[in-house]
Order: sequence, then structure tokens, then C-alpha cells
Amino acid sequence: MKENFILTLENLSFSYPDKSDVLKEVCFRISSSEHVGLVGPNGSGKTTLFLLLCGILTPQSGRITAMGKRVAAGRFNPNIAYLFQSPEDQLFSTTLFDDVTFGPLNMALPQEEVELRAARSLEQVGCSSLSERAPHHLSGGEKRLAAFATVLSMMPDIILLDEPTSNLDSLNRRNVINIIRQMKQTLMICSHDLEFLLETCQRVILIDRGRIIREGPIVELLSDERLMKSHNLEKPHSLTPHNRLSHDHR
Amino acid sequence: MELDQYARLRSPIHTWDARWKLIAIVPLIFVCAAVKHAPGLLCAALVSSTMVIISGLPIRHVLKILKGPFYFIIIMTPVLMLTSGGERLISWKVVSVYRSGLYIAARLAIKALSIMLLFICLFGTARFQESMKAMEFFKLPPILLSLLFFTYRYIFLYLEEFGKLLTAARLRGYTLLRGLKGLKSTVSILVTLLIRSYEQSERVYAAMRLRGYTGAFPTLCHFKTQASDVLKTSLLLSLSVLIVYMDVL
Amino acid sequence: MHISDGVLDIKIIAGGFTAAAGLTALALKKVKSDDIPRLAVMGAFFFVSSLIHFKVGITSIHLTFIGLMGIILGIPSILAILTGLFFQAVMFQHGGISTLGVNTVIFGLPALLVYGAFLPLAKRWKGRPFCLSLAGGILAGLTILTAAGLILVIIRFSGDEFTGIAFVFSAAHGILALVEGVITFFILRRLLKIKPEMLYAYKAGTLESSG
Ligand SMILES: Nc1ncnc2c1ncn2[C@@H]1O[C@H](COP(=O)(O)OP(=O)(O)OP(=O)(O)O)[C@@H](O)[C@H]1O
Ligand SMILES: [Mg+2]
Repeated sequence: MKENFILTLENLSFSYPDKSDVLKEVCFRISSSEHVGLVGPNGSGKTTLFLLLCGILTPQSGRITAMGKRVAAGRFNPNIAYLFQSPEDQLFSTTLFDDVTFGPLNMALPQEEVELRAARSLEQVGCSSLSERAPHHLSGGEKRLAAFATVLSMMPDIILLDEPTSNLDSLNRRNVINIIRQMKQTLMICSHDLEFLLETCQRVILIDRGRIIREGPIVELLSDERLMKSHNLEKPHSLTPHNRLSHDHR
Repeated sequence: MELDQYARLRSPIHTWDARWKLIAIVPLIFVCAAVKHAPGLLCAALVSSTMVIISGLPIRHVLKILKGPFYFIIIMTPVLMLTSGGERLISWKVVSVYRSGLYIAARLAIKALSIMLLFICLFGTARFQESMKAMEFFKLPPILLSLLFFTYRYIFLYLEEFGKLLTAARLRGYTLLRGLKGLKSTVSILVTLLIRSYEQSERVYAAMRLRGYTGAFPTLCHFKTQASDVLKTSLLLSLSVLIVYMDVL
Repeated sequence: MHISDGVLDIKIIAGGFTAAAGLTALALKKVKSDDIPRLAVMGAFFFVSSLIHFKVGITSIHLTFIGLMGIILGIPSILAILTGLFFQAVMFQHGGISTLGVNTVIFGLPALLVYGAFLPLAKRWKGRPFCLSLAGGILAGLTILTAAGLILVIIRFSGDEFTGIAFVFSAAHGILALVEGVITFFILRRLLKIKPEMLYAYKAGTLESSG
């Protein structure tokens, strides 16, 4: 039965007007509450895949089903949230608070609920003190965290995170790891920070030139040195047993 | 550059409810634009400068904002004195200096500066979004308001981006628009940025749609009218009437 | 290029706001909520690019991009111009608050005219980007002259004392019109080659995005 899968992709293909076959015949299924990583070299189609999943782009063929319903492009679906690769696109209001409340207010929630959600999501990412600041005055990492808060305040069931750790210092990176590990929602995370994926995901999908190369349990897949090398990736250090440093830390 | 930099100070002007402040100051701005004669002009100048003093905004901040209108006046004065016509002060061949030019320049200066001062009181003593929400209260079309909000945000992005770009260009020893070659590279820079901004606008639109944007700009409103707000507004409105009365007299 | 605070008679100011309100209402009728992000982002872009000073000979000028805005944004460009002028007054003290209405008319009307003239040309010269860009460039140059003419007329109506000064300032607009026209021509040539859909995108078409 399909009920176990919260997100399914069937034979998804996509081309941009000036770049064909960005994604070809992509299929996968994701169960509820699963945390799935998405890895692949630059330009392999990860961001494009996310844009399709949340209905920003329309696939040329194939179908996407989320929570039993087909994802239609251009329709607002409060159950799916997407953290953009660039926070500049996502923080469009004049203060952080306005940005975090934008989604909940559009969902026509009562005012107290909106404020509660805003406060909680800002607190979660450790940005409570920035609530009245203007997005254009934040640092790169702060912008990233703020954008994350705007996603969290929607309380979606499915969250797509595009490079959530870029620009973050090690403390905030750790903080994001802790947030994600506690999250009960279904997550797809695309990242070049493989150590980060190792700590947050159970399963990983490797994608290159628009095709799914392999999917499987994260430790197993990322330790396959030959596979990783052939797709411009590097096996994470923490998976190398000879690496004394990481060994000692265990 | 950022007008609401000192919006967090506390003064009678700062604590004034943004909606009531709008009701009081906007008419006064038009009164300042309308006055013609010396008594009214002096009153307008007096009221507007008193307001700024009460607001407690740092003098340097105010002067920095006034720099623009001030330069304008400095340039205008000699030109006005040469072109205004009327009673001649000095005459030399075809060129003559007119006394009324000086008077007109002074009037211009007082009007422009008072309007600017009032404007600083209006927008410099409340956060930008608070002022916008006050405007929303007066039924400005929601589309216009969303436009103001989003434009404001992206102006800063492009200011930064252009700043970086111009610095980079200057570091490579290159001035915009020098000769035909300069023109070509200027155009290609502009086109690149233009396309990038267009594509960004599509992503921003997508981001808004993902969070349920339908055209309205939802905001949380926390305005509360107090007796002092009404008092301040009626005081200022009566002053406006007084200025008009003095000017007509 | 703007009319500043303190120059105009109150009647003209009131008339300016009335006319601007009419133009704005027209634009609001044409605009859909889907257009707002594009108007805002592009409006901000044009606003910032109009702040750049170009060196021409010994003087420096800054472009207005009014013609280009009319061509790219269509009738809603009025709204972008209005907000742009508002922020120019708020943030940089160019132009003025009391003259916001008048200035919106001065720039908005030419933008509308350019749009109106460009639309049939674009249909006729579909496969001839050179002619189309040339026409766009000429139209953009004409916007400056139209705006300068409007300024002159408005100031003339407002009272005698500023007529002399208005003539001096309008004369300086010849060179600006030339530069604006040339730059617009080159920009249009490029855009027609790389991304022609930008010029007539009235509706948000298929959304495209890059990483
Ligand atoms: N708007 C667009 N128009 C045309 N081609 C595009 C567009 N956006 C992306 N592409 C192309 O599609 C391919 C996939 O891009 P995508 O952004 O999905 O890669 P990615 O896996 O997210 O890469 P990265 O790791 O660098 O973020 C790339 O070759 C890119 O050049
Ligand atoms: Mg990407």
C-alpha cells in the first residue's frame, strides 16, 4: 500500500528552456518522518528537484504525490516548505518578525497563535534577539538561520532544506543539527556537507546529471569510496577507520 | 540613508501613535507648501524646527538629511538672483542681479527645509513598518503597500550589490561610461544585473507563494490610541490652521 | 530632474496629486497580485541603478531608465515609479514629498507613452530586433525631453519666478536624453537577444529558478 509513503516521485523528467534533461526519469519514495539526504556534485539537479517537489516548477512528465495528493505547480501547499538555497530570496520583509509571521498570517491563524509560532521558531534557531532587525542587516549565517525560522513557523509536514549549513559557524551548525535531529517531520536535505548529513539522515540519495545513481542507508553509501570518487564526491573523514582524530573523538 | 535609524529613542514625538502622527503632520506639510508670506513662513519654520528639537533626534543626523535640500538651495540662489526679474540690484551689460531673486530663494529655502524637517519627524521617529502600517490603517490600496514594503527591502540588496560591483570595477581601474568601450561594458554590467534581478524576482515570488501569498500584505497591528495622542494631534492641527490664518492675513 | 519641495504653488501640488491618483488607479486596475514581487524587485533595481552617476566629459549625470521601465513593466510601471520617487525622497532627499504627485505625473506619463508606442512596434517588427531596439532607444530619449517639457510647463503654470531657472535646467536635458537613448538602445539589443520574454512579461509565466 502507498499509505506508508508521504512523498512519492514517479518518472519525473524536467528541462529548462535552455537546458534539457536536467532531471531524467527520477523515481523515489519517502516514508513519513524519514530524514533523507540528497547528495550530488554542483549542477546535478538537486535544487531543481526541490523546486519541482514544492510545486514551483512544473515537470514535463511524471508525477509527484505528497500526502496522498498530487502536487500541482503554483498552488500553495502549507504542508510542504522549502528552504531556498539563497536566503535573499526568502527574506523579503522589512523585519525578521514580519518575515516569520508572513506564512502563519496567510494561513489565517488567530493572532495569538501567529505570535506564538513566530516566537517559538525564532527561539528554536537562536534568533530571538534579531526579531526586530532588518534582513538586509543580518550576516550570511544569521540570514540562513532566519530563513530556517520562516520555514519552521509554518509547521509543515514535509520540509525541503537546500544547503541548510552553508555560511554557518560550527556552533550554529551544531545547533541546526540538534534541531533537525529532534524534528518529527519528514525531511529532505540537500547538502555538500556530508558530515552534517551523516548526523541528521538515515538514508541518502545520490544524484548526478539528473539521474538517481544510487540510494541506500547513509553510512553504507557514503563509505563506498569508488562510487563517491566517480561522482566528484569525497568520502567523509569520520567514516575512515584509520583516521585517528575522528576515532579518538568517538 | 536609513531614515528610521533613530526610531528607538523616546520622546513625545516617538511615543505618538503613528496613525495620529500621520493625521497631524501630513496636513502641516501641505500648509508649509502653501504659505506665501513672511509671517506664515516664519511660523512654519518655527513649528517644524521645534518639532525636531522635541523629537530629540541627533543634530548631526538631521543635518545629514538636510544636506540634499541645502545643496539644492545653494545652487538655486545665484541662478534665481540672475533670472527672477523685478527690481535690479546691479546691472552689467545684459546681466543683472535682482533683489526679488534673493527673497524668492529665502522663501524656497524655508519651505523646503520646513517640509523636510516635518518629514523627518514623521518617518524618522517610528520604524518604517510602523509608519507603513499606519498608512494601511488609512486604507491605502494593499497592493501599493505590499509594493512599498518589498521595494524597500530589495533597494538595500541592490545598493549593496551595486556598491560591490562599482568597487570591483574601480579596483580594476575602470570608470563607468568613459568612451565607447566604457559604454559597452557598462551596458553589459547593467544587462547582467537586470536579468539577475528579473530572475530573482521570480524566485521571490515563488517564496511568497510557498508561504501562502495571495496579494494582501498581512500584518499584525498593535496600535492603541491614548489621550495624549489626540491632544498632540489637535494641538498640531490648530497650529496648522493658525499658520494658514496668518498667511492669508 | 525632479521638482523639489517649496518650488510649486499649492494648486499645482493638489492638481499633481489628483492626476497621480488617477494614473495610480489606472495602474492598480491593470496590476495583478502576481506582479507585485516583480514590480518590487525590478523597481528596486531601477531605483538603485538610477543613483549611479556616469561621467560624461567633465560633468556627471545619472540616468532615469523611465523608458526602459515602461517597456519592461508596462502600465504598472507607474506604481514602480511612484514607489521609487517616494523612496528617493525618503532616503536620499531627491525630489520632494509635497511634489511627489507632480513628479509621478512627470515621469509616469512618458513611461506610459513609451509603452503605448512600443507595443504596436513590437508586433510589427517581431523578427527585427535592431529596429525595435533603435525605436526603444529613441523613445527612451524622447521620455527625457517629454519629462523636461512637462517640468517646464508645470513650473510656468506655478508662477513666474522660476521660469528662468526652468529654462536653464531643461537645456541641460538634451545631453541626458542622448545618453539615455543610447544606453537604452544597447540594453534592449542585448535583452532581445538573451531574454526577450522579459520585455512583455505582463503575467508571471512559468516560474524559472536557478540554484
Ligand atoms: N533557471 C535555469 N535556467 C536554465 N538552466 C538552469 C536554471 N537553473 C539551473 N539550471 C541548470 O540546471 C542544472 C541543475 O541545476 P541545479 O541548480 O538544480 O543544481 P544543484 O544540484 O542544485 O547544484 P548546486 O550544488 O551547485 O546547488 C545546472 O546545469 C544548471 O546550470
Ligand atoms: Mg543547488
